[in-house]
Amino acid sequence: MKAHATALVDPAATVASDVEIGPFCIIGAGVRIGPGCSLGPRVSVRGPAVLGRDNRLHANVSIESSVTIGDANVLRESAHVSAGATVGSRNRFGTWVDLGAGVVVGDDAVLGSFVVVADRCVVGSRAKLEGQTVLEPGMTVGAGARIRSQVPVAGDVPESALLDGNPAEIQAGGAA
Amino acid sequence: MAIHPSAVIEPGARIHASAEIGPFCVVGPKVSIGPGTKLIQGVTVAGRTTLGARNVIHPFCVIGGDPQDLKFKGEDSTTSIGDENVIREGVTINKGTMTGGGQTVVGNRNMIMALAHVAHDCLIEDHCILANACLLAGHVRVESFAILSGWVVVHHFVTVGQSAFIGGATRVNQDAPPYMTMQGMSGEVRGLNSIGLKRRGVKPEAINCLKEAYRIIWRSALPKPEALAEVEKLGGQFPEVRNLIEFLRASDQGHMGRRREHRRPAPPPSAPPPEPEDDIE
Repeated sequence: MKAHATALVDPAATVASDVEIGPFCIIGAGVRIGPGCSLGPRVSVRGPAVLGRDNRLHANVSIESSVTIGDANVLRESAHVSAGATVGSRNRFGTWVDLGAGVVVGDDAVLGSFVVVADRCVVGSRAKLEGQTVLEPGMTVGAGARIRSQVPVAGDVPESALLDGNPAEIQAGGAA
Repeated sequence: MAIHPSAVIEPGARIHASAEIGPFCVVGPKVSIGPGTKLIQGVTVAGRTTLGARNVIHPFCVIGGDPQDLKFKGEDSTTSIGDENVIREGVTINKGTMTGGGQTVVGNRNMIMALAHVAHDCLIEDHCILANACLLAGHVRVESFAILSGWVVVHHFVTVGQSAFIGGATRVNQDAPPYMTMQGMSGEVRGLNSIGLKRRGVKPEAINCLKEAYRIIWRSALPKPEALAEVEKLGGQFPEVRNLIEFLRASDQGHMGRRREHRRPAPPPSAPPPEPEDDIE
């Protein structure tokens, strides 16, 4: 573990030897961080939580307790993952993305900046939520769906659908 | 030089003697900070980043971070911030990408409010205001004196003309013409930014002519080229009117109403066609 001298890593955390931990990070008890991960300045992982391998957490990212994160995800500045959320692999989260409690995100999804995913939502694999998308609690976005920026999402979004407009409508042709 | 003892300054960083670095800031090795610039606390300045004179950077900003772009492969691109900018809490300004010109530039005396995001290869000129949570995608150019209200989203490669006013939560998918106001999810031109023009000291005759230009271009049934020709006849003597006409012609010559689209790098001939946008910010 290459932790900066100012980082606080709990002795009860398990961190792989090549993980980089930036200045002022706080890693709690029961956190497991896999090889190849890098944490920017001021990242907080409360724990218990599991981060797989090759994840990159940029400055000011905050991960709460009982969170499971797969491999090779990129979480941009100030992204926040609430308690009990599960994130797959190779997802990309923009700045200030907020995942609520118990949210499940599949693999290869892209969440633009300021996306808010409220509690218990499910975001399918390869879904693309453009900047400022807001999902209400319990909504489901199907695999491969795409939601255009700022669209007011009123209900579940089917697989591979393209959602745009105000009020939101599923567009012909789908997300592909 | 006032550097708080808890700040982390990497060896190689150049900080002017009159700059102030607050508690828990992190300043990378290729950063240069000019006279009188203040990092209040918890600010991260990364990459090859230059901050000019007398800027004030508020807590939790990240300046010069890596671009959110799949084409970025770790190149040593730059971020340049001019003088006397105010950058409020939690703003992120990403560095450039080599395929997009390699630099992100913020000019002088801009006010970038809390949580705003300025993506890779953007150019913000001078005296602009980006209100809270304003979101610029990559390669966006914002010309001087433009005002972007809260929660505005700007598409890649868009140009926001000078003294334009973009209303709250507007989605700007095409170039926003100078001197005009724009509002709504489909980014409609709604009228003239007459208050902004008065503040700039634009002559009343020119303002009246721009008002008429708005009516002819956006409220008459005339096709665009004819409307522009008419406006040129009417007010070609005013530099603002000429600028508006040139701006609109350049946007029409671009792609999808965006003159900067030609900056989009062409895919290598052997590669499969890329998705239209790989970077949705």
